[in-house]
Amino acid sequence: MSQGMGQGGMSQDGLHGGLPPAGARPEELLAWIAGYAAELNTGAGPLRRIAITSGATAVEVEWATPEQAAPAPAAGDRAAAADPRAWQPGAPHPNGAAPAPPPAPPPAGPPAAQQAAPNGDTPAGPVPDAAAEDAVVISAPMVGTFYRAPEPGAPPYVEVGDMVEPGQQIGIIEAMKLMNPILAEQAGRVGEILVGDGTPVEYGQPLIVLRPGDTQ
Amino acid sequence: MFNTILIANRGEIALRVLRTCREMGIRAVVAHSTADRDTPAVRLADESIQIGPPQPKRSYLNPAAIVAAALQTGAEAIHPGYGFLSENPEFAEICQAHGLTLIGPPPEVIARLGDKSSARAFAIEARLPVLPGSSGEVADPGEAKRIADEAGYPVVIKAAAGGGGRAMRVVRDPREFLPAFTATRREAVALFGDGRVYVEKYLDAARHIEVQVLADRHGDVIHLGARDCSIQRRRQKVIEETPPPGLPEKAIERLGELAVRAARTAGYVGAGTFEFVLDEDGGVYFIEANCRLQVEHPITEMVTGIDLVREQLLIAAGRRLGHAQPDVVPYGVALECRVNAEDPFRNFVPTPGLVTEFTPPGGPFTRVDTHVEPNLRITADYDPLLAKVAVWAPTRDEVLARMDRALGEFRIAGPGLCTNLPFLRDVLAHPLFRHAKHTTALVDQMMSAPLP
Repeated sequence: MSQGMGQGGMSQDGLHGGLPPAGARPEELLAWIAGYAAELNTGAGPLRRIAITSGATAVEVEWATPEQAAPAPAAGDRAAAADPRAWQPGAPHPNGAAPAPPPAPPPAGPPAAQQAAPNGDTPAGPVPDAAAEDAVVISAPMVGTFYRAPEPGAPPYVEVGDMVEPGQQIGIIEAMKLMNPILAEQAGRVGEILVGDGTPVEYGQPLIVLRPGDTQ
Repeated sequence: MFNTILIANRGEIALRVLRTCREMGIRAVVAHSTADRDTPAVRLADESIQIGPPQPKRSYLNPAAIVAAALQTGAEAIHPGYGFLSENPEFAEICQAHGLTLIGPPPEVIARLGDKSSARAFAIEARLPVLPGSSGEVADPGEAKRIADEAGYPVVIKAAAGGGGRAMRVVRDPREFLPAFTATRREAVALFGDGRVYVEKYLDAARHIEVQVLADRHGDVIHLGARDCSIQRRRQKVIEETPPPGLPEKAIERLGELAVRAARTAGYVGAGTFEFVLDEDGGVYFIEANCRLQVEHPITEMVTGIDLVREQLLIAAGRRLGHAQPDVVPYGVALECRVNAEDPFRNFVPTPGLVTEFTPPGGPFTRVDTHVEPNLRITADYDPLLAKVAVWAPTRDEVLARMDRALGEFRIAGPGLCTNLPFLRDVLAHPLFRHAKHTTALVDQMMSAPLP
């Protein structure tokens, strides 16, 4: 780890060689995470916080830098909430059960690891970094179920790498049997799809990361 | 019994409902807006779900968001608390259509009693005493004027869909009736999208007494005594007391019987209140029914030992009432004060802001229902209620001393924040209140002639 403080989840294509065994028991998962954290923990400060969510498999690991023994800045709480990778679908509120001090804002450099997409929906290949300066997050404008395609079996509205135009539909949120189209407000390239097809979402939950600057 | 309940409210009442759920082993999901994500109810919840932005219309008042939240968190029932959608018959119907139990009476009962003009028509049909006035809504200004003249001035013109003292006008001079009628209708359309109004006699100085009832789905109805809610500012209650002081036991019993009869006639289910005004000559008149848990329910809990939220949940799950009328024996006196972020010297305008210090009182028989903690921001999006302080004692003198002691301990501070704590203590010390001679006019009297 080059940066002082890392924070993020992990994915199939993360830095680590593999996933924990499918259907792992909690203690196996814990052992695997401890090993993984140790592996990443080269040169950084002591391990400070691990948050694990099973259901949709999100893991947050946080290190303290040697010079940063003091509590993280209070502003970090909100920053983390606005950061798509800090979101843990289906998990208790991030400010809820976590006994540790709030995490600091994500570093400018590449994060420790990437968030695992629910249902393993993220395509293979390197996942772009949502924390990059030009990233725009499209969030859920309502509570409901997110669908990536107009109907079961149909091709998704967008895939990672697609260019979208302002006003282009990127998905649907169904609430009380009403299909509400979700539109991109600006042009850009789809960097990440954070929520799998058919997943229940909360208001404000990040759905897709768009890169307006990436028009090549 | 339910496994999971969605709490579709915020503030102290979300926390209040959550606590009973936990005691009953029921999983509680708290639905919250972005403004409330860092509040104790969300932290204590078994699960929370963000339903929208701060504006109530897009969160706590949005049926689609709440129903979707209930369905996706596996809730079987929704507790609406008070305010917001708690007395909305359309919301009750939507819940029913989605197989969700809304904790409260059936939609048709809410529709009939929740609407003030149809509640008045219902009361006339149920042979409850009502103030002279129209038998329901009145649309024709000429007819309204005739009704007002007959009832005698002052009269009040009220929106059928109204509440919280909004879209209502008191008319003292017959010449002012017609303009006031037009203005109230216009205001009712603007505020509630519903221009229906009704007219009734207005009592300048009255006691406001309400009866708490519980009704199960099997036709059993009991009452849990009466509360005096005469201390109001801007027609909203600030101090409530049970039993109503200075009222003979026989009179309270008679009100209880009237309320039970009204609940039976209406086919009421759940916890609710029937509200009455008492004039200076001892005349009793029904004014409205509340189809929900009330803000001031803790004082009834203190004198009866009955957890009203628990009863609501048992009733909603189809259980029979666990108490018969003779089992309900209220004991002692309980008083509640609503501590608000507001400025009594600027007509009680809300004073939102950041709370930096918050130390609620403790001590014997002292209950504080609150969601506030240091570093919480009181926003203008919601009502300014900071805490409800409820105390119990065997006698009224002791209860008054205990409340004054408790309010004196309360420490609340923050930049720009103002509370009504000193004002509440002034009311407690007022001779009319001490001698139980107060009416709904007391706060106005105090503000126009403050004590030296």
